[in-house]
Amino acid sequence: MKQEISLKVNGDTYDLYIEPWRTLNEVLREDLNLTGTKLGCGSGDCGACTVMIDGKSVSSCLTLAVEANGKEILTVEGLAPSGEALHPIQEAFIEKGAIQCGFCTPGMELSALNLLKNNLEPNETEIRHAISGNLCRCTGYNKIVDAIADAGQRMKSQQ
Amino acid sequence: MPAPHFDYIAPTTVDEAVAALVKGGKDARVMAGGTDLMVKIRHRALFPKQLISLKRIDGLNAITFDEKSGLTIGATALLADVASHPVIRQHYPTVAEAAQSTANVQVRNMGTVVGNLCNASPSADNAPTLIALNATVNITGPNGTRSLPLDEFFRGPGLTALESGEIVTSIFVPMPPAHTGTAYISISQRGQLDCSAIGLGARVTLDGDRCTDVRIVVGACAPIPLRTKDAEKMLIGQELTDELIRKAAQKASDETSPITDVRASAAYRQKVTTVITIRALIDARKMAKRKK
Amino acid sequence: MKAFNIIGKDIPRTDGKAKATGQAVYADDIKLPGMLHGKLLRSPLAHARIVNIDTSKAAALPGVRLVITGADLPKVTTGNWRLFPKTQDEYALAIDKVRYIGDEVAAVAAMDPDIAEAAIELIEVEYEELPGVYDIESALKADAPLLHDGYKTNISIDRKIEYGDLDKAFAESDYVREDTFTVQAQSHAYMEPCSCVSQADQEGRITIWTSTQTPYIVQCLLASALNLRENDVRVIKPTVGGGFGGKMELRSWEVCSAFMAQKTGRPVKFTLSREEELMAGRRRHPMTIRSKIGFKKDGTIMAKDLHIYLDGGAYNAMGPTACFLAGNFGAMLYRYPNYRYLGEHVYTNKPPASAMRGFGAPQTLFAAETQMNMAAEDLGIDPIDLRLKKRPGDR
Ligand SMILES: Cc1cc2nc3c(=O)[nH]c(=O)nc-3n(C[C@H](O)[C@H](O)[C@H](O)COP(=O)(O)OP(=O)(O)OC[C@H]3O[C@@H](n4cnc5c(N)ncnc54)[C@H](O)[C@@H]3O)c2cc1C
Ligand code: FES
Ligand code: FES
Repeated sequence: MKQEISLKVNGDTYDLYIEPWRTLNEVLREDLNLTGTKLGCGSGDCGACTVMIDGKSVSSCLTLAVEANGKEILTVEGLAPSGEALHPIQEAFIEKGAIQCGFCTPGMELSALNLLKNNLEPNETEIRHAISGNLCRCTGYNKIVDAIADAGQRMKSQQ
Repeated sequence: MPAPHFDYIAPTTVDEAVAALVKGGKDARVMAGGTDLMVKIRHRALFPKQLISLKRIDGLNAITFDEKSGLTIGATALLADVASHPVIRQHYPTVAEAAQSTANVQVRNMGTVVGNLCNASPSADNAPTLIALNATVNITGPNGTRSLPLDEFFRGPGLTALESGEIVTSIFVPMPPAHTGTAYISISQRGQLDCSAIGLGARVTLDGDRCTDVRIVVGACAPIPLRTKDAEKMLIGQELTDELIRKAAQKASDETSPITDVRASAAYRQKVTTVITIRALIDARKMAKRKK
Repeated sequence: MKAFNIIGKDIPRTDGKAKATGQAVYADDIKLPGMLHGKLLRSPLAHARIVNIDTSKAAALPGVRLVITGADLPKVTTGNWRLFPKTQDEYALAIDKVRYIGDEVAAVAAMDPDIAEAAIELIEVEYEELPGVYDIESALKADAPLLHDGYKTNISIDRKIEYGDLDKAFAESDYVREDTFTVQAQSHAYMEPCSCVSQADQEGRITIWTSTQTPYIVQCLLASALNLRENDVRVIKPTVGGGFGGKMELRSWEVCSAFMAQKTGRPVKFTLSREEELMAGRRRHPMTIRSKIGFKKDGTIMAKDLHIYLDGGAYNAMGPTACFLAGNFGAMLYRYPNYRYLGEHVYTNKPPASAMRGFGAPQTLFAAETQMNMAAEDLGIDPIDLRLKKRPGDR
């Protein structure tokens, strides 16, 4: 039976009427056309679907949309403060060469934010632990690690 | 096969949840973080007609601590919360470490310690330490509440002692006696992300150099997280020398009945169980000596 | 020093901003009005004759718009080597036989992915199971079941390279060793599962957005598969989430989506699941590599005789290229004055192996470098010195 839910995604409120078995990933991508959030495995293993719910990073492929009812969701589309300015994490990813095919990038950036929101100066081990749930098949991770460290510095200088 | 279709309810009290579970019968499933449940549903290994979410039950995510009695971890307390909880890190560091070594950041932000236990995977990362610490499971069902030692909770892969209609509301971990040390060591291919090929939880209580109590619990090497009682017997009342630890570790490995699967071969498990039992007992001994 | 615009500068990638903000469009992100969702029925058996396929129940399911089998498609085989039609051995949907677990048998287009998946289950296929071969050794046995008609053995193609005088060089060598190395399969595991959307116009001309590394190959092969002119097929390569060689051919779902778009008049999208990718996706060739190498006492390389069997899986895919390149790579890094290569590409009842980063090099060079170390030990020469040794013709 369909259920009425309300999702606040990137600051916008959506009232939806959806089937309870649908995942947040499906609803974001198909109903809201927010396709920045990717689907790489559907089983919690790759992190391409990472979004934030109430400030915590989660796998949207394992989250039922109904579970997110009334919560605040942040996707990659909501990271940049405006159409012109990028989020420091996005700037750092671009400048440090942390993006190749880009399929892992939205999830990586949200995992980076999940780390940096509490710790702007993480060491390498902390960064690697923070992205242990995000697979990247292109970069070999080193540049992503550099980018996250750099993003922390950028965020710090903005404070 | 398309993904199963189910109804979803989110009761706000334990009693409502129990009532719904009774009403739903076999077709109903309790869901905490859903990180096990959703994977099974998506892989078409489970076809529930109703999911009963526990996440909207007020207070069920509480983590409480009392110096005299011990620690209570609520059913919806997240793995991430247990891993970072200051009191748990101080008084039960190995409980926090085991939660931290479960899955990855995202899964720890969704999944729960209690869900990890209720899922009853032989490799559940949180089971060995909690069994070693004599944890008990608090259960509420149609006939009221009861509690059970965690050691008696597991009945086989995916099977627990829960009767139909019963829900685990929390897990209680008594305050360990003085001079007690614990350790959890897990081996897995990808370090953190994947389930353990072998997990080992140990607890050692000392009186001077003499061991007065000990628990050795092996994960992923038997149908349930296994207490190796013969190995424990070898240590109780004895001075914990490296030599004796080595012998007991060998015994512990003999008591397991590992299988070969995608995570490791039986032979590897048998061999490595000995190695990590030695390491865990030595770590636990060191901590016991340090602890007042 | 001259100042360059590009060289020596950090140049941010042109699509970096689109990717960092989630605006980059990958195939599965595309949604067109009226779009249908496709799903493939795959063989549950490694080797079987198809006796009968009944799609009536699937076609009758509400929400299903079209069900097709190999019999509905033009009977055209595809493969990347167009100049060697015999190497083109794969139908978009199986005809008569399936040759590996995951071989595509039928396709459904429906209103949503759930309906398509339900319909797939309603297709009834009657198989007559055949004995299979699962490794090089059993595929080469004299009485091994053959995967493809028109062949006397399971060797689909061979390549040879030879120069110098091997017999003389080995006779003049002070030290000769022969070793056999085996290497296993490997998945590309690109993060983006394969996906495509096709749209047909009133004339049946196709526009296909597909996650591919090789739009021109898709264009020319899709045109032949559907009996279209090449300029009636427009391939748009959206952002691609990794390929590593695994997205360099025309694949079953691309043919099915284009064909079904023509038939239904509606766009049709196919997106594979990770399970499909790992079960039936392309992979790196497992190989059995027999390498014989001769040296002078001082470490001078005299000759190398390399014989490689490539475990190609059920179809050629880009195996012929791998078969050829393995021989080229086998002669690389050191100057081999006398060299012989025989590569044989073997059919087995497994997913087809194909191009993957290095394309034959990792396997052959693993064998070559390991053998170098073994030889160095026997010759009493430091492995680095053995490698750095100047050889006739070196500069
Ligand atoms: C990518 C990934 C990696 C993982 N890695 C690990 C790992 O390294 N180690 C490991 O041990 N596990 C791992 N897991 C498994 C899983 O994340 C854990 O077992 C987690 O703790 C389960 O908790 P949950 O709250 O999500 O449980 P759920 O999925 O909600 O529930 C699990 C089971 O327990 C039942 N249940 C839950 N709560 C209760 C309750 N209160 N009363 C009665 N029954 C209940 C449910 O009905 C279900 O059968 C991994 C999972 C994923 C997706
Ligand atoms: S798609 Fe969710 S973790 Fe891979
Ligand atoms: S950039 Fe391609 S997967 Fe990370």
